[in-house]
Amino acid sequence: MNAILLLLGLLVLSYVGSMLRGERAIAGLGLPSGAEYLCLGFVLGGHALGIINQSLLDSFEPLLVVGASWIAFLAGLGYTQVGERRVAAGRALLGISSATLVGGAVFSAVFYALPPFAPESSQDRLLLALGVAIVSCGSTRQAVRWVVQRYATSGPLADTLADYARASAIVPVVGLALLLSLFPGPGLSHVTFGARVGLTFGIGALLGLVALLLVSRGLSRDEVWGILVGTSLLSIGVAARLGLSAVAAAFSMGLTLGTLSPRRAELSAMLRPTERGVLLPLAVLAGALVNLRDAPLVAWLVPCALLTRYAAELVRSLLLYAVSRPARSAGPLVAFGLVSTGDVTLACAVSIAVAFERPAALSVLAVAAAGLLLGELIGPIALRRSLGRAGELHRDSMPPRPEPPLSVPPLSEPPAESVGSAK
Amino acid sequence: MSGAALHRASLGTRLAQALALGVVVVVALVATRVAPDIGGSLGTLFAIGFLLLAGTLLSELLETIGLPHLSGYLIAGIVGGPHVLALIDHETVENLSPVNTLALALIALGGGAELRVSTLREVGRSVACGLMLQSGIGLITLSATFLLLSRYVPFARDLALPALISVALLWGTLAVSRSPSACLGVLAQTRAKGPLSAYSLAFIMASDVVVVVLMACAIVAVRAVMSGGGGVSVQDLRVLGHEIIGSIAVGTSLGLVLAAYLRLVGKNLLLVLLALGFGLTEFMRYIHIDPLLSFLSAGFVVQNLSLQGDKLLHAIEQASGLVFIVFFATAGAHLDLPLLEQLWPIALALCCARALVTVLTASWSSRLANDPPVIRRWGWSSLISQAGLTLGLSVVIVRAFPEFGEGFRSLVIATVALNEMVGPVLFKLALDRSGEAKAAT
Repeated sequence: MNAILLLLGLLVLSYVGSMLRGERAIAGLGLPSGAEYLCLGFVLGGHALGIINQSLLDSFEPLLVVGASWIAFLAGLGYTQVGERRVAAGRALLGISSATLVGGAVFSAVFYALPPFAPESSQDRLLLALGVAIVSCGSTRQAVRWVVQRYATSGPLADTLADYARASAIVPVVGLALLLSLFPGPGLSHVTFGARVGLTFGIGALLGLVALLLVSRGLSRDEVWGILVGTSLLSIGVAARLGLSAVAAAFSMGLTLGTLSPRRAELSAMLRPTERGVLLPLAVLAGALVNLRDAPLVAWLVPCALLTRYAAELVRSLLLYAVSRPARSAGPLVAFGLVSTGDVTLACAVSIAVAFERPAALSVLAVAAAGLLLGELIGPIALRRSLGRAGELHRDSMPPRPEPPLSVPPLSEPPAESVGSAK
Repeated sequence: MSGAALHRASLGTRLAQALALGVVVVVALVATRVAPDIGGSLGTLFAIGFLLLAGTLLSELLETIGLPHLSGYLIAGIVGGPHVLALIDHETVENLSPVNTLALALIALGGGAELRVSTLREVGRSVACGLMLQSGIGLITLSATFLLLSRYVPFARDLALPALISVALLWGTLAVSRSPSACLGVLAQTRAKGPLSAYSLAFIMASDVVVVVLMACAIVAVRAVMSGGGGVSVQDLRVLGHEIIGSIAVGTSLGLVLAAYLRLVGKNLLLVLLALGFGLTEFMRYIHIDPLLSFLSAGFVVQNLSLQGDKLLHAIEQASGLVFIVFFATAGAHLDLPLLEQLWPIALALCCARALVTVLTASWSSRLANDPPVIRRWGWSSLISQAGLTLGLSVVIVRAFPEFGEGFRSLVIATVALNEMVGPVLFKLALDRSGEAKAAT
């Protein structure tokens, strides 16, 4: 397959993805985070059919980085909100700390249990442990949204879980920033670790402020697109150039813009359709990157990471029981309601695989893919059962309904003119 | 000269844009100084981000002194390019070439869609006379001018006479190309209506088609000369005929499919245009079809054989905004400044010659066609600008003739830069003076 054909295939997938953006379609088709496209990529990739080979993937590296970072940017932009409701601070704190707990447990299990299994270098050991922890600690907001929309659930438990899932997105992103700061590029080798981490988020925040400054000046829709795409690409490019995490920089930019912009709702409404349009091609490329033959210790790492995560989820459910009354009525299955990892995790895994061109990074990607698939299968079922037990499930399946209108006015359309102004 | 310019930006907005531009340049400078060699394809992301932001902001700021947006994009590229601040290196500039492919497809498709049969009927006689004189006399005199001045052109100085005549022919063909985008931009800004506006639009769009066909012919002829064949054979003409007829046939089919898609589905046009711009262009090249002519035909078919023309134009407008910024900024970054330092007197001379020939032939053709006084007086004013199409054709020449293409393109960029600075200003002045401009800007 040549690059043009692959590009056309990805555009078709993007087309399909943007067609699936409507809530009705999300509720009716596919897995919450589109993990089936990861499988499609795996089948097409080097491990199976070899249609998408390594040299093709190398030429698509910028697209992988941009796709992963754009997903992180969108996650940052909507980080403080679930729909039109603000994430409760207490729940956010608990979501972050419990995701950190899960990540810490996975890190410890891999880091300390690894030596007897393989003579990896200390750097690879750290990369494996931290990488696997990063891809195992998050919970996707999409799984909760999927269940909520598909079964028309509502209530305090659904809100609590949605808040936890939303808040947990920052944990893998911070982990990724730490990981890439541990292995700096040549330009920043003389800078301290803390400064590198600060720089990662500082670049995003600074360019987020630039975007905020420009977007708040009442520009037309086209001009806002130009500003957002330009600042995003610049933050991604600067971070990549310095050997820092582009995903974390983009998340930081989105978070800055989402927190401070009075036009956040308009921007979210404008950018929401791009989410699945980017995610599906990214999932296919990520699947194609997975190569189990070149990834060491996968047979050991996958069960170790998943078992540790699921055990840690049980501990998390105890925490939930302690602090959340609705969770108590949901039963023990609520522990597994948040195991779907989803888009931000996928973005982090892709970022690790691209940034570290060594076998250990491929192992991290394989663990992420396995966790994503299993989580997509278990998470929504567990979530549905839990919400049912909590009395928040209002119907068994959602009948088709038209896409609801946006609750915010769209950004102003540019004045009518012909082909364009720029030529 | 965007429609957005219709609303005057406040001082606060301009200050915010200046501050943002300063931050962007400083961030880019620090990043490139700390990590000079990024290598690989990730540098492309950095470059696109910088060009997009700097181009947008600079064009907005330059608008306050009456310069068109395109100048801002070009200057952003020149300043960020390898010869000034070196934020973008040569390799990265080369890596950005796929943007050219997409931009050309959008320009051609949009150009075809702007060519309305009804407008052509209104000003058909004037356009036909103008096209014959501008394309005929213009091509010959401007080729001759290049030939006369060739001893001062570094890349042409040492060429043998047949090769020199060939290069001059290519130059003459490029010199009679106009800027549909600049024309549309000024018309959108001024909301002008009247004979001059209708004539300018129809002439420039029709001249697009003529120039693309002329360029296809010129390339075949020049290739035959440069390969040592000595002339154009029957086989060459047959190939050319196949290429032109095939391009129109493929374009017509594409137009019909596009019209059906716009009518029946009409969604996700951005992705469709991207697929056309990248995928179909490659496919057309593979089967030896001229993508520019095909896309022009497709746009023309959608506009005139269906009711979907406006929808297509709107989609192209939305898709092209970001693409054109990067396209023009990349052209600026591509500018070989050391070469331009040698070329600027010759570029200025060629621009002056082109302007003179354009004014004289426009005046003559107006008399022949018995045009109304407003066209007789101001008909030439929209024909000075050169922009996307000319730059795009220069990319085609670089691909077809790498032996002198880069030097040729540098000269083209230099003349386009001059023409684009002056052209839109003259056209707007003409619309104001003729009373066709309706909006104060």
